[in-house]
This record gives sequence, structure tokens and C-alpha cells, in this order.
Amino acid sequence: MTVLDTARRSAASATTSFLYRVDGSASWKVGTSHIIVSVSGPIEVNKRDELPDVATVEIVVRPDTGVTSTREQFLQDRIRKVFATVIVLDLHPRTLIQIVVQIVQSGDSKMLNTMTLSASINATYMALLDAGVPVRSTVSATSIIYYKTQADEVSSWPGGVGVLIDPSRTELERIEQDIMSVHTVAYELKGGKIERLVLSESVGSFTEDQVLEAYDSAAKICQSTNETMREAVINGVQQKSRWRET
Amino acid sequence: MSELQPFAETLSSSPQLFARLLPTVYFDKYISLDPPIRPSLRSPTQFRPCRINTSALPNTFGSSVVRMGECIAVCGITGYIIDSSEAGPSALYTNVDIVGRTGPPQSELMSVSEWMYETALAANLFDPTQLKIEDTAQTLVLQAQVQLLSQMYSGDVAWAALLAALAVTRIPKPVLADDEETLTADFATEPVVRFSTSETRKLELNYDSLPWCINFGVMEGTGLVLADLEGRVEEASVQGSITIVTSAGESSIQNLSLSAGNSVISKDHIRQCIALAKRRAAELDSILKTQIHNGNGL
Repeated sequence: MTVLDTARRSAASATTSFLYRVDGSASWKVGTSHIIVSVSGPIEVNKRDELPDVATVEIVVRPDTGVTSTREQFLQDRIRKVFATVIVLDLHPRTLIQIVVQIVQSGDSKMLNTMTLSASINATYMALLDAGVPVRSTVSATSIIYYKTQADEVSSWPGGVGVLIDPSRTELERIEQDIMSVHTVAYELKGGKIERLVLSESVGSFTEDQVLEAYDSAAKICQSTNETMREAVINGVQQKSRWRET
Repeated sequence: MSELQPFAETLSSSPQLFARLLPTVYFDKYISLDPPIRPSLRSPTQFRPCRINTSALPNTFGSSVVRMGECIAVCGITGYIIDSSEAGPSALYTNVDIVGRTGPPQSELMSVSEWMYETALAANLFDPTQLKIEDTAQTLVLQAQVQLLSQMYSGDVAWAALLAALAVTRIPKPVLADDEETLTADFATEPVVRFSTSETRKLELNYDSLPWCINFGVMEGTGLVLADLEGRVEEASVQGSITIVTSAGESSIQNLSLSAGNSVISKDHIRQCIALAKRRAAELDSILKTQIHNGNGL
């Protein structure tokens, strides 16, 4: 009985090309998280921000409620770390690639930001594809939460440990007091196959074996998320090619 | 006829200029040696020397000054009293700043600040109920102000300063005033709480071995692991990074942040870093304990 068999899994859905004044846009919905990302680029850049050999990447994260805080800076920093190597920056020197991440609904409980981060990474990738920004590979991300199960619940691991994958806010709040560790993992894929780990944020109380196991589970999930992205892209292209039908 | 002058004179520049202009090439010159060595003359798995001083600042519940290599962080712990109903999820608020900085904080500083708050919250460093003020509906919350004395954003040094300061924090005994009252959240009145100037009680932490923060870099290509990255040259040359918050020994890990950059980070890299991190955590525990024991602490 592997971890993935028994863990509940929210289905993700994506739509693209719905914003008109930007080069690319994407919406990613998973669990109760909903993120919209717009990408414009390569476009003109300020002289001050111009880089002579590569494109400048500007990422802005806007929260669902309240004012921008250090939390958005943290998310922006992590998203940048993922995409700085995935986007082929040296193809467009002295230009700007502007990414705006709008959190429509974070889907996280009060103390976490894992769903926001993983959904934002997925939405950003879809938007970059939609905008036609050159990228080296595919990126997909997921959130995995380990928690202590109550006596009556079936647990997938020895020692009463339950797993949630890309959960909704209600599911998070239900187990909030029993959370053991939270893992946000992003993988790079090429040709639909996992290439390497690009980002991981693990918080809580966990052992070396647990975190490595989380990486393995995340790889399988990211592969399936990659399939979801493929389907969304195929649908998007079919929509755009409607005019070809005679 | 004078001898032909050379077409262009050879340029000579200092190593520092070389390091500034071409940090990756400069770094490569050192690391390609056999055995590899870093520009700071540390071996790949060698950590920076660390010095900790505690309780040096007046008017704080606890304080520390931590120096690792060229990075220095100062942490002061103070507190304020709030109504228990207004208390948020955390009994500890952290703020990281750079000494002498003006204007809005740079995004990297904000990122470090947020990371510290989230890590402190998740690490559950102490039981907040020990801060509740008896016979009142009020509680104490602690505020940790960390000041970085160097231009480098070193989250691990800032975190070390926070831990060291908390390890020596003493909460003054609350004294209920008999001449002044305050309004509580549900519109009752309560005596105002003041702090005793003479009696203090140690803040009990949930850890015997503290959860220190240790950072590593993983090089592109060779996959060489470098412990304790410091400085512009190393940061520009080594893109893959792993940051671990853990205590020594068999205990669990509190935080593991990984960003591959251009490098390929394997499970062996992660295992190696965790092992090195635990050893370093034990070393830092010992440095702090010696410091406190030698009377500098209290």
C-alpha cells in the first residue's frame, strides 16, 4: 500500500489565454486554491534594471486579501528561484519578462503558505507557456502534508501518520493541530519525465527518511500534474485553432 | 631607433578587482585545485569560525552577539503586554534589519525576515503559556529585534543570534499594580501589570539541543558540496543551495529549504548535508554552552 493510494488528492484544473492586455495568462485551481498569473515579455525594460547579457525577470505577488507583506516577498523569492533557471534568459538580453501572480484564493490555512506556493509555481509555468516565453523544460509543483491521525482513521504509514496531497483549506484546518510536516516540492521535467528537483520547502518536524520519501511521492504527483498541464495546453491550442475548421 | 614598444601594455589588477569583475572565474581558479580549496581558504566542508557573546545589551530580557566569519548579528529580546484575546498564533515576533539602513527594506531582507518568523513559529521554540500573567487576562509577548552588522543577508547568523538570545532570556516577574487599572477586551477592569526590577525567571525552551540553521551550496557540474557559503564570490559561483534547521543528534529536522539553481541535487547530497548539519549543530551548542557557563551569560 503506497502512500499515494490512500491519500486523497484534489484534482487540478487550468485555463489559459483569458487576459487580453498581456502576452500570456493562466489560471490554476487545485483544492480551494485559485491563482491567476499574467506574463508579459520580452518587453522593454528600464535602463536601471537592464542586464546586458540576459533578460530581467520581474515577479510581483499580490495577496488575496490585505496589503502586500513580507509573506508575498517570500513567495516571490521562491518563485524566482524556480524560474530563473527554467526561462532561457540569454535569448532575450536587455528585455524584461514581467510576471504578476494574483492570489485569488490562497487555499491555505492561517499559518501556512504551501498551497499558495505550489499553485503559484504551476500557474506561472502555464502563463509562461501561454506567453510563448522560451523555457528549457516543464516545471510542476505540489504540496504534501504529513499529520498525526486520530485513532479511528486509516493511516497509510506505520505509527499513525496520515498524508494530504494538495488539500483544500477545510482539510488543512481539520488537521491543523496535528500537522507534523509540510513539504512544498517542485520538479523539472523533460519530455514528460522527471529530470531533477528544483525547489523544496519543508517545515515542521521530520526525519531524513520522511523528507526523502516526500520527495519521491512528490515526483510521482508532479508527473501527473504535468499530464494535467499537457491536456490544458492541448485544449487551449485546439480552442485557438477553431478557425481552421471548415 | 628605439625598440618597438609593445602594442598594448599588460594590465595588472589586484585579486580583489578580479574577484569583483569575474567572481565565477576567480572562484573556479581556487576550487579546481587538487585538493579543492575556497577563496576564503576554507576546505569545502569546513565551517566558518563562530563566536557568541550573550547578555551584552542592557534593557533587554536577553541578548546576543553572534559572529560567523565576516557576518555579525546582534539580537535583543524585549516584550510587551497584550490582552490574551488579541494574541496571534505566535508568542514571538521577529524582525531582521541591517544597521544603518534607511528607506524601505530590500526584498531579500524582507524574505529573510519572513523566513525567520515562519521558522520560529514552526519550530515551537518555547511554550507560550509560561508568558501568561497569572490572575489577569493579559499575556506577555516577546519581540526579537535582530540587527545585521554586515551587508550580507545571512539568515543563519541572524537565526543563531535569535537562539542564543532566547537561551539566556529571563522574564521579569510581573507585578500587579495596586493603584492603576486597565480595561480588558470584554470591558472589565484589571490591575495594570508592571515588571519587577529585581526578580526574573528563566525562559524555558522546548529544546536542550537548539535547532541551529546551517547552509550549504552544491556546485553545478562537479556536484561538490560546500558548507557555510559566505560572500559575493561564493554566492555568484554556487547556485544550488540547501539550508537546514536542525538540532544535533537523532532528533528530527525542523526546516529544509532546497533550491537547485543549475545544479543537480541528489539524495546523497541531501544526506551528506544533513549529517554535516547535525555535527555543526552540536559544535554550536557547545560554543554557546561554554559562553554561558563562563559567566558571560548571566
